[in-house]
Amino acid sequence: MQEIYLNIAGLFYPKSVDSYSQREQYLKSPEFKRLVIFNNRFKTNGSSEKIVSTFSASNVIFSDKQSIISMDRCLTLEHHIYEKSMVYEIKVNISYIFPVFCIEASEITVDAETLEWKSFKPIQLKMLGAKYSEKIEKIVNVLENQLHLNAFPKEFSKIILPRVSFESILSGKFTLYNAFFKNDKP
Amino acid sequence: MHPLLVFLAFLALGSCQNENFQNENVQEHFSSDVKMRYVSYADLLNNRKFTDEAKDAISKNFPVGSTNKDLFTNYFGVYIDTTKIVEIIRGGDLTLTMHVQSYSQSDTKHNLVLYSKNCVDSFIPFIAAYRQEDLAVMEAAGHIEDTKPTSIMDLETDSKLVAGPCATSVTHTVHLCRDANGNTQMDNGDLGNGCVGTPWDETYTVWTIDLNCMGGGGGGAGNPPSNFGGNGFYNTGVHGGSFPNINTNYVSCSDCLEMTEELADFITNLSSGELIGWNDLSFPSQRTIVNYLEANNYTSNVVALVKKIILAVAQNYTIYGYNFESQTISAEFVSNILYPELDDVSDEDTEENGPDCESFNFVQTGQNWQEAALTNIHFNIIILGPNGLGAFLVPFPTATLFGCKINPPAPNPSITPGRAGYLSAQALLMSMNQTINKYKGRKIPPMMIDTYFQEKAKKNHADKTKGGIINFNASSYSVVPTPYQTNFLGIGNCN
Repeated sequence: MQEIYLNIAGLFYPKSVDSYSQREQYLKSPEFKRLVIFNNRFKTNGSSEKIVSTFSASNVIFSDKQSIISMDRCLTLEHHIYEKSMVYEIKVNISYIFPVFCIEASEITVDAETLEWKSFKPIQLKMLGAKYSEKIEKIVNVLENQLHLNAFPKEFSKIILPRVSFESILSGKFTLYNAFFKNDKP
Repeated sequence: MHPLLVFLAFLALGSCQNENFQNENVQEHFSSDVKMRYVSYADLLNNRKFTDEAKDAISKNFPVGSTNKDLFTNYFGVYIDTTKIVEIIRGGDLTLTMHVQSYSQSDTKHNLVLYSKNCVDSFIPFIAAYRQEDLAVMEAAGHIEDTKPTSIMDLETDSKLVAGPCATSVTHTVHLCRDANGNTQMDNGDLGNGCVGTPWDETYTVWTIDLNCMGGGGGGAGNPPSNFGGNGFYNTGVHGGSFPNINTNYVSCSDCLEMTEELADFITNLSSGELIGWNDLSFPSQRTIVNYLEANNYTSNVVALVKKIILAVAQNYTIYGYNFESQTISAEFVSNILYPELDDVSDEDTEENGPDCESFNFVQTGQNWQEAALTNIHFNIIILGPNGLGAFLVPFPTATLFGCKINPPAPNPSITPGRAGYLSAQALLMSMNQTINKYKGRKIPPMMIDTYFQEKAKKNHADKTKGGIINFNASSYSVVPTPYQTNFLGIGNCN
């Protein structure tokens, strides 16, 4: 399994080319060009709209949809849960280089008077408690059964791709999570 | 600096040829036959004869058993402040006087006096004792070094002599000046002697204790101490029939650690490698360590940890090459020991000019997303390099991409392009100052500074812009990058 993920990631990220010192060479590499093609295709072929409409058809409404930010490798759908003094943010990341998804949660502290958001802290999904598990189950159900995506194995998140760098992530720090989703894990 | 060395009183030093200790910077400075000067411990060690014999003595006697609490009966192991050693030559008598760190609870201070007859004989160690009350009186008068010794003891024989009537004093004026580095040195009046600025004079009293005085049975009024009186040591002429004249001047220690039994144990139990590290530490660093040891009651695991740090100093480990964080000791504490220069860096030196919020040109790039790219973000941090403290530039030459929502979820207010610039500048400035405060004055690899700053910037920016991102070294961006500008008045107002 792990081998498969590593091999797929290898298609999009050149080995032994430093994203800082060999920037020109990096941007011209076949792997990076492939990533750009996938990125553009996903942005323009209506995939994200299709995903959102599939969710709405199953009565799963997200509070915000983000178009892909620069070279992120995924579409992000956000949902916010407001409690008295807290906001919980659930993010669904759907990779466009491989049919996998991951779900992340953050706890947001809010200003007592203005209710404006102050700071973000990543939390585990199970910390959200039982009352939101139904919501999450619903989301996973749509992702797996209607969009035919697989959950990205959590235990692979921190596996390092040797000799691979990307943007500001240095060689030796680039993980499978970075390869399939984003530069920063919350 | 070597404020505190375990220093051994050596019994068999060879010839003390005057030129052995000759130092170009210091010269005779007295009007009479007395010559007085400071000798650095390094100079003493540079004297090969001295080094060989001292080394020999150290290897034979080190370490001193921790049960030997009585300084005077175990003369070969005393703690000496080696930063200040006074050499006095009068006639054929040479003495070296230094401060003894005593941990006995007494109202007496001690100096170790090494005496050499005719500058050819071996050194004979003496201990000069000073009453605390006498010292206090002289200190109040501003002349603590002129205090009269109460007694002098020959360490070879344990014979003690009350100085009383056998001590005479001579007063001499010494001409002092500062060298280019601000150190005090003797001014011999020659051109090119390294003196800078106006020289000044200081008057010292040298006490001469005539051992013949007691030994010869004369001296009148003094009561001979019982352990000295009849043993005939000086009468029988053990020292060649001629009794020494001990010329000395009280050597104080302002920067000495207060010696406790635990500290003495700690130092004597250091391995030779650890001892080198200990002696390499500056006084403030040693003070930090001793405070830490005392706060932890010298428990064995804390002592073991501190020894590791000391060894790291001796082996010139860098703070990042040694994983102190995993220990029960903070990297910050280690850093304070290794790099006391940290305190020399004031906040004024390091406070960064604010990034100008007008550097940012936020443009809508998605349905609910705006971006700006900035080239050449940079800031300065003062770190410890191979040549000491110096400013180091942390550069991000390639375009850095900033992105955030235009309309974050309610109840957060929407973020105009100007506001986005303002918040991004705020986040950058905050992260720069956090980075500077964490690493200023440290010996730290540039990459660690980079990484720390990037992490802080991303976090601060996300908090301020309700989930925005920063991408250092973005590989593609649709906005036109603008140059980074600073504003010494702050970050400006782009709201």
